[in-house]
Amino acid sequence: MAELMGADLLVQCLIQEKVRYLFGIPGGQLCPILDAVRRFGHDAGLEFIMTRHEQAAAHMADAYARVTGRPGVCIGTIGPGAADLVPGVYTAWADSIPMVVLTAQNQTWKSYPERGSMQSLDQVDLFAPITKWQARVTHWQRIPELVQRAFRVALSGRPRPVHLDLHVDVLVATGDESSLTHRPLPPERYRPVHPPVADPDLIERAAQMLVEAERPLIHPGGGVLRSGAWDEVRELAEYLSAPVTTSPGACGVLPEDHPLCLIAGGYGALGAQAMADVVLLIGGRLGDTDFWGQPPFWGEPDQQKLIQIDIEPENVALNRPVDLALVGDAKATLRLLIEAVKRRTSPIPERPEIAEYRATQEAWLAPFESQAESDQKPIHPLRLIRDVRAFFPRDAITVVDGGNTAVWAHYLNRIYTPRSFLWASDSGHLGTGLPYAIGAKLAAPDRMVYAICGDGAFALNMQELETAARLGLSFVVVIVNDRQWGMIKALQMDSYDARYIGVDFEDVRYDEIARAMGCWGERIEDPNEITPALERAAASGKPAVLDVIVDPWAHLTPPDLENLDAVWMEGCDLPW
Amino acid sequence: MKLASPEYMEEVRKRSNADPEYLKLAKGLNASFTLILEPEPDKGVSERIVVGFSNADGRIDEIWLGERPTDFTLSAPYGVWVDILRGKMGPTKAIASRKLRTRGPFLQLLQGANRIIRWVEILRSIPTEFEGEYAKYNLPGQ
Ligand SMILES: Cc1ncc(C[n+]2csc(CCOP(=O)(O)OP(=O)(O)O)c2C)c(N)n1
Ligand SMILES: [Mg+2]
Repeated sequence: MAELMGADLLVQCLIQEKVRYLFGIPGGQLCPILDAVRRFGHDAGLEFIMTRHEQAAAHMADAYARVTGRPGVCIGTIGPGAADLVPGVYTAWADSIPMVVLTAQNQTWKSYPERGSMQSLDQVDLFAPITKWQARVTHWQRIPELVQRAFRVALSGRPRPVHLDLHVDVLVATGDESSLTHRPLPPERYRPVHPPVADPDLIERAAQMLVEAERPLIHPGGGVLRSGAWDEVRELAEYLSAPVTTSPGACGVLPEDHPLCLIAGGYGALGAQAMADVVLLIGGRLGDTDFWGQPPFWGEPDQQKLIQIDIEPENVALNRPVDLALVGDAKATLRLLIEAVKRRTSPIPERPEIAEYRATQEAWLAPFESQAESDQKPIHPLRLIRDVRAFFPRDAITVVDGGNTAVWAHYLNRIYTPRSFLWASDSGHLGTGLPYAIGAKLAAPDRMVYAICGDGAFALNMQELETAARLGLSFVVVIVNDRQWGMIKALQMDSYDARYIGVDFEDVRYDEIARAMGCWGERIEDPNEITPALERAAASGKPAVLDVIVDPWAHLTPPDLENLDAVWMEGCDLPW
Repeated sequence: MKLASPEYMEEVRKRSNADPEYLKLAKGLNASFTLILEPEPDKGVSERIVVGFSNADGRIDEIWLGERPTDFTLSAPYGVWVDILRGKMGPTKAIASRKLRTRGPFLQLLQGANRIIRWVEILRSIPTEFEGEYAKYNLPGQ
């Protein structure tokens, strides 16, 4: 059999996994891998997407995974390349996104511990807190075994990033393929392709509890999106006439205008959560943006029953006690749960309280909708959000990145399809917007993609405009330009008697930056120009930036910021 | 006037019933409320104060001191009420942070969120004296 180079073996394994994109920046020690992509990866459909910052590369891989459900792969060279991937890997880690992080490493004989070689860094330790599993690839023979294991770990149980540190001497080493214990193989030969299902007896008990409930409620978290279980959620909800409230990051599990769907964190949803007698939590942890699953926005844990489905036993009862825990994949477990419910009851007719929840939601939304009518100049942020959402089709992919920008967007930017809302929900990591838009467009070239970004957030990764233009992608980035780190300024205004520090920017012409990087760019100051500008941007066929000047003071006061601050600063009373 | 004293509660009734915005938001509301101000002896607030009121089609028709069964109960340490009244935190933040605890159908409370926010604005306009150490935050009123 033929002699094979280590890097070739690695790339063969990626091809078996049908990896479409490797996102990263080249480096000397990465060249063996990139060269293998060039020599035979391209023909097999594997492309290297060169970015302008490794952080953005990791965010793009993250977005690709969020949209497709398949693991994203990013790659960094030794030392600085690996270090610069960290923010993007952390963001994926926080939201349980499957990702394979590949880093080149110095030769085995001068690493771990490093001893003064340029760019040396013990990278496994660097990634340990933000990856589920890490390995050093120290022998040519172990490449397929460890790559296969990396994908297996990233995708099984609670999906998360994993890290492989690839010593360059191993990448250039050669060996005889016949000497391998693990050869590059199709995935079904080395990782489960049928997900685990919860215990059938427990599923029956869950069905009984749901059928007996007077006011059941279904609360999907991001796990439902990862598992692809939205059809099952919908079927169960419709059969039981149960309202569905999602965690803020899981918007789109049900179309937000579905009669049973209540907008995350809206007053209809909070009321329904408080009133439910049985809650079915699926693939979520009830973290702080879900108000810990505790009163007042949920029922008392000894009165409101909680059934929890999660693939990860460690997540069970993380933030509140459960009455029944089902450990298994959301989709597979829900399928059986639906059958068990159907055996017990015919479809439940609409419950009267749903209309009341919806009315509460509508009353909560009404002031936002009327503010969105505003023709004021500078533009009111809600006017901008409303016009942007109205412009794009229902199935467009929304990316949100920013502080108050994200809060305003939440009020009026409805999500109608699953895996179509990209927001770094558990990390709140700014700077994801533009890279997410690029990753999303690569993942779903036929769908429209738009990003709503705070000006501060956008500028954290605006160098990727060149990447987008070079790749010939078309999407729209709407910059909510208030010339400030709005959310932080708002907190300083509310809680620090307006003693502002480090929150104001100079005026930056983001539209001109966009044009200088080969993109479409326009500045918008008149609310009546928003829609025409969106038309021109979409028609340009380019990555387009609309730099929209909003009212900086109006932007500081989304009403729910107070509630978020209450959660974030819980237990920290300022002494004035 | 002292917070939650009989003359304070009378002023609350008068100002609320004279406020068109409050009345608009409260229209159709028929519910009774108990407010509990818990003592903080180390801050010079020794008494537990309990007051109540009821709304008839939004108007405050009755006020009282002491306990009666009501549809809703809102309770918090005295200092939390002071913080709400001096504008350090809004009523929704007080509820979200679990400093202000509620009993009663929560959905209806949420439905009335804007009414409660307006009501707190009215209370802030009343000249108010606070107990103990909180006296430094007394409100001049408008
Ligand atoms: C990478 C990163 N750094 C800092 C923060 C803290 N932070 C949260 S919101 C915010 C302000 C965001 O400003 P901008 O993107 O302009 O949005 P705006 O709030 O003005 O709408 C900051 C700095 C963060 N979330 N992420
Ligand atoms: Mg800003």
